Amino acid sequence: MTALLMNRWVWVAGLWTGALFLFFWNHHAIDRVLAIQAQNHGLRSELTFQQQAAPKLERIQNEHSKLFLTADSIQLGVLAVEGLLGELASRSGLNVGQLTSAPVQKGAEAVGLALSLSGPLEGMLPFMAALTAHRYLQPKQVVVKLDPKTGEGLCELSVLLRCRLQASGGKESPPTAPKARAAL
Amino acid sequence: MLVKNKKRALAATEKHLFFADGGDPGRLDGNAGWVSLPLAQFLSEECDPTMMTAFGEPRAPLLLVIPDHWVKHDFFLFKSQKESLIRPFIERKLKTAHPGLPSAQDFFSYGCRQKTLEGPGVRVFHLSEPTAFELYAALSRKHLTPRWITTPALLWEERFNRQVPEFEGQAALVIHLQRHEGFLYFYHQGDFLFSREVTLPQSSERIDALLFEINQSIYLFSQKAKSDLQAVYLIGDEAGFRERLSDLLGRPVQTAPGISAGKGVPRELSALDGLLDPDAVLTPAEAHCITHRRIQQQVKWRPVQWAGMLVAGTLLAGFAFEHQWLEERVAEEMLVRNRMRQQQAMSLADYDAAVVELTDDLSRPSPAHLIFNVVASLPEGASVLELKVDAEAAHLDLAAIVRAESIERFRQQLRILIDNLNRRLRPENPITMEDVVFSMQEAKRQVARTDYKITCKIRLT
Repeated sequence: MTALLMNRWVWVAGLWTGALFLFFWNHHAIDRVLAIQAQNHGLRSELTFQQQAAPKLERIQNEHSKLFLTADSIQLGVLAVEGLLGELASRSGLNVGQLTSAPVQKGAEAVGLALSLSGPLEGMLPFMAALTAHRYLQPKQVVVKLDPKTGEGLCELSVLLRCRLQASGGKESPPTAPKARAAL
Repeated sequence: MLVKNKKRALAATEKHLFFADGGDPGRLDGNAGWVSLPLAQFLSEECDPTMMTAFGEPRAPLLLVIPDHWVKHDFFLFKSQKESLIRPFIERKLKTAHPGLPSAQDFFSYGCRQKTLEGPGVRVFHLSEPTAFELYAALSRKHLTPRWITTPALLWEERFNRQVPEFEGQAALVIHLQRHEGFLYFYHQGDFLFSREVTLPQSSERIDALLFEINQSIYLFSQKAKSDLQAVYLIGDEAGFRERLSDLLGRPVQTAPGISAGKGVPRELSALDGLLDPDAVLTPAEAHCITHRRIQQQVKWRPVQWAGMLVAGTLLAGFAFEHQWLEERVAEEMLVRNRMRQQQAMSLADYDAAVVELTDDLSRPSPAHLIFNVVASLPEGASVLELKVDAEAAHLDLAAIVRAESIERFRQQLRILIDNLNRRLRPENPITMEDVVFSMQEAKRQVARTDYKITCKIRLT
């Protein structure tokens, strides 16, 4: 070891290796600084833009929040939606035949719902119109059946729905977002 | 003192190896500043290793002085003065001349000379005594590798060349007079030729013994140098000795200015008296010593190594400083970024994704709207049997019953239905009569009118 340290070439090589290592490390650090500076520049521009377009962006945010039902938990949200659908059906004079929901997956933000209704044709359109107002409920498939035997006024309605939910985990949701508890 | 100067000296004789220990010069045993060891014992590795560790600063360069006859001096005719040509030439010569000493090629020194009689050539001196090689190897094993190897004659040569300007051109005899011995060194044009050691009795015959040897050696010198002796220098003059010697030789004997005998070396090293004094130069010039080829290479590359270390060290320091500064900049910029991110509730990318989702949502066909449009498109006498809306696939299946009194009336109602559907639903491909399938088998014939069951598949935009 001592003999190795006595060799000046080892010192020369060590110092040059160190210098080269630091050179490339600094090169990498410069790239890093430049990348962060570019990010900061972008962020600064974004902030300026967001300040200038705040009302429009707020509207987008509000509209977007309507696409989700915020609930304390996904299961509570599903429960609320089931209650809401029953309420809408009864308000439209429709009878709920069957209402099932797909098993809630952990971390999923959409739940599938299957709904069967029967009743007068006049009640079906208000029901569908009322459903449209709740944008987090997206009909995937709608089947309307009218049986001429039972008279033209009665129909059967089958709806497959996709319900988009957001679990707040007990936190307060934004004021614009619909609340599951309110629906309950 | 030698140790304090960070230069160490070793002196070898036929029987002993002396280490300059920088001790008290007033020691009573006469070995002031020197520690000796039997040479055979040192070569056989039987010596005490602690003695070596006490031998001064380990990294200080080491001078080894060996007896004159361990080094052989030659002159070879050679016209070129290029080192790249001279070195291989000398190596070849030594290999031929000393086949039993392969290491001799690593231990030589040379100087270019322009001799009056012989012409241009190189003066070479090299180790020729096997003990010298063994000693070098033994010293290297003990990490005491000599930087310079020289002899008393070469040291006197250097000193006279430096102190006496005319010495370089003279055929000279240097008499180094000691209490028990006299040393005769013969030089021609500043180059050492040969030396003699004379044991001097402590009596009146002292000068006769010296004179006899001088006369004998002068004869040999004139044969070797083909020149007459031009100057005689005396070192270590005793009272009246120089005058008597001048009278007896019949030529003037001078004392070299600034050169005097020293004091306090062991008797065995009396040839070095005055040469290794504390104030003496312990770094002989390359022309007056032998350096191992490997060490020569090391010395040659030393400036490059130092320059390399200096440049790399400077760069390293600069880069380290730059790195520190860059790290501070990174931390600063990260702080700014975090602060801005805290100010920003939602990034533009999030807004963009939200807009895309909203657009997708708006572009989805509304089942309620579709149902309303389909129902509104039905002509008089037509009623829906089944309506299936697939919002994901943007697809609509319609089954209906059309009641008509005649085929013409059925055709008219069908036309109205198709026109209405095309107008209200704006399908991807407009619906034609071909797209509507009706079944006569299932049609019910009643009084004065017929029920036609029609089905239609509509691809929505």
